Amino acid sequence: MTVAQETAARPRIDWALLARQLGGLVRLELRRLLLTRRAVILGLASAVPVAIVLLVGSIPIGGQTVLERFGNRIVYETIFETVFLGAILFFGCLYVFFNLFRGEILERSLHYLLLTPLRRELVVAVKYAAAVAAVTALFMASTVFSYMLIYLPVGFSGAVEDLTAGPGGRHLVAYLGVTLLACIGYGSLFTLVGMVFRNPIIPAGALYVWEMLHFLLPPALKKLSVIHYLKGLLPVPLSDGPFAVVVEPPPPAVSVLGLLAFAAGVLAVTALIIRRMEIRYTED
Amino acid sequence: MSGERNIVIRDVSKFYGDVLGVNRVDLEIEPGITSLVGPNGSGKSTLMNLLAGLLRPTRGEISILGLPVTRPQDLFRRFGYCTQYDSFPRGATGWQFVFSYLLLHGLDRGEAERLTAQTLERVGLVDSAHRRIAGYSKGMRQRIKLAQAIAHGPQVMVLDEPLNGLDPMVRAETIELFRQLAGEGQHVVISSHILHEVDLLSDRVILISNGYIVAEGEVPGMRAEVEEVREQPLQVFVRCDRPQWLAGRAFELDHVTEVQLHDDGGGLHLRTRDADRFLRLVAELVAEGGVEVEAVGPADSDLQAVYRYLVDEEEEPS
Repeated sequence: MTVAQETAARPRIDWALLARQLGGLVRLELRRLLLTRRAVILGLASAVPVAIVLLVGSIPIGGQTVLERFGNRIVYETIFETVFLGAILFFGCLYVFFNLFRGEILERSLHYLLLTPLRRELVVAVKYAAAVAAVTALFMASTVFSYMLIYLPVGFSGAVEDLTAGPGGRHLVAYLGVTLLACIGYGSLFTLVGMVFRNPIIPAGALYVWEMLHFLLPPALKKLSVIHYLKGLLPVPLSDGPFAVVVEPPPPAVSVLGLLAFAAGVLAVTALIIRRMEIRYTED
Repeated sequence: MSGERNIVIRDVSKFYGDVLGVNRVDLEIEPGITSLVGPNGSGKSTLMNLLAGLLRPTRGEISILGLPVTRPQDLFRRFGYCTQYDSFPRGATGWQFVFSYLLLHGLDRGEAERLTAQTLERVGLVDSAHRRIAGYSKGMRQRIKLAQAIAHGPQVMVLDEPLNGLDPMVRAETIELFRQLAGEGQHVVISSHILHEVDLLSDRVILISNGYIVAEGEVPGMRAEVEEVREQPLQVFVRCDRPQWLAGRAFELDHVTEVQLHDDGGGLHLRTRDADRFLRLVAELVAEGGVEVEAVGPADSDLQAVYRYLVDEEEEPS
C-alpha cells in the first residue's frame, strides 16, 4: 500500500491523536508565554491596579482614604475603566498577541511550527486560545486581588457580606467577564495586526486613539469599537464627560455575543492569511 | 504508481515578483541520497522551501510520496526539513527543542522522550542536551536542527546545507548517518555548494544554477562531467586554534599550492588540488589532538567560480 493509499484509508480525523497534538501545542505556547521575560512584564503590569487600589485604600488624605471619601464602588470602577481597561488590558494584549506570530517571525522560528502535521488554521486557533488562557489568568487574578482591596475600609466580614448578600459578588463577576472579553476581543485584533504589520506602533496607536475617544464618536461608529461593548457590561455606570455622545449601551447579550463573533471573524481572517503565508524571513 | 513512492516536481516555477527563484523544474526523485548542488543564490533553498510548502509555487505542482504539499496534517508525518535558518525558539535547550516539536506530532510523552534521546544520541548531542541552544557552537546548532528534522522518523528528509559548519569528524559521522537513513529506503535530499563532498556522498546529483536545473543524474555520469572541474585548485578555509602550525603541515602536502593566514590569527585559507586529501589530513590532526578545528569548508568565491565554469559548459550546447 502506498503512502497516499494508506492516508486515504485512515479515518478522516483521529481525535485522540489530534488532542495530543493540540495539547503539545498548548504546552509549547504556554511555555513561551509564562516562562519567559514576557510573563514578568505582564505580571508587573497586572500588579499596577492592585497597587493603585492598595494606595487609595490605605493612605488617608485629610483623615479619610479615597475609597472612604468617594465610595469604594465608584473608585474601583474608575480605576478599572481608566487604568485597567483603558491601558493595562489594551497594552498587555498588544504585547502578547502582537507577538503571537510576529515574535516567531522575528526570531525566525515560525517555520518549525508550520512544519508539523497540524493544519495552519488550527495552529492559529490553538496559539490564540493558549494566549487568551494565559493572559486572562493573569489579568483575572489582578482583577480579583484589586477588587478585594476595596473592602479594606469595611474589613473581612463586610467583604463577605457584600460579596454574598450584597451586589459585590455580581460586580466582581461582571469585572471578570469584561476582563475575559477584553482579552478575547483585543487578543484577536492584535493577533491579526501582528500578522499584517511588522511594527505595532502606528496600527496600535491608531486603535488606541479610536478606542479611547470612542465616547466622542457618533452612535454608528461607536459600534465599531471594542470598548463600547465592554463598557456596556461594566456594573457601575460612569459619566464620559460633557463632550460625550451619549447612547444607550448595548444589551449584555449583544455585547457578549457581538464580541465573540467579532473575535471569531478576525481569527478567521488571520487563519486565511497564515494559510497562504510564505516563509521568507528576509522580508521581515 | 512510481510517483507515489517518489518526490515529484512537475513544471514548477517560483517568482518573487519579477525575480526568478526557480523556473520550469521538472524532477522525479527516488529514494536514496540526492544532492542538490549549486552556487549561492542558484535556487537550492527556494526549491527546498517549495518542497516543504514554506513557499507556494507560482506555477506547477509538487507531490511527495503521492501527497500534496498543501496538506500538512498528512505530509509532515513523513517529511522532515532542516532549513538553512540558524535560528531557534528563544531559551530552548536542545532536549526541549526536539521534544516539544515531537509532541506536536501527537506522540505521547514517553514515546517522545524515547525518540528525543535516541535522536540526540544519533547526532552526538547527548552531553549537551540540557544546555541552551543559544550557547551551542555552529556545528552543534546544525546537528540539533538535523535532530529536530529527523526525530519523528520521516520517510523523506530535506536538508538544506546540513554539513555547513561541521568539523571534519562530525561531518564524517553525519555523512554516515545520511547513508544509514538512505540505506533504510528513505529519501535524503541535501543541498550543498561543495561539489566534491556531495559527489562522494550521493546516489544522484542535481545541478542547479540561476533557478534552472542544468544537469541531473547518477553519480558516475556526473563524476565524469565534473572531473575536469575537480582538477581546478579549490580554496578551503579552516578556523582553528593553531593556524600557523596547520599551515606548516599543509605545506608538506604536494597538492597545497598556497596558504594565507587570517588577519585575526584564528584560521587560514589555502588552495589545494585535492581537497579530499587535505580534509583527511585535518581529520587525522584533530583526532591526534594536534589542533582544534572550529570550522572548515570551501571558500565561496572559488566555488562560485567552479560552478560558473560548470554552468558555462552546460549552457554552451543550447
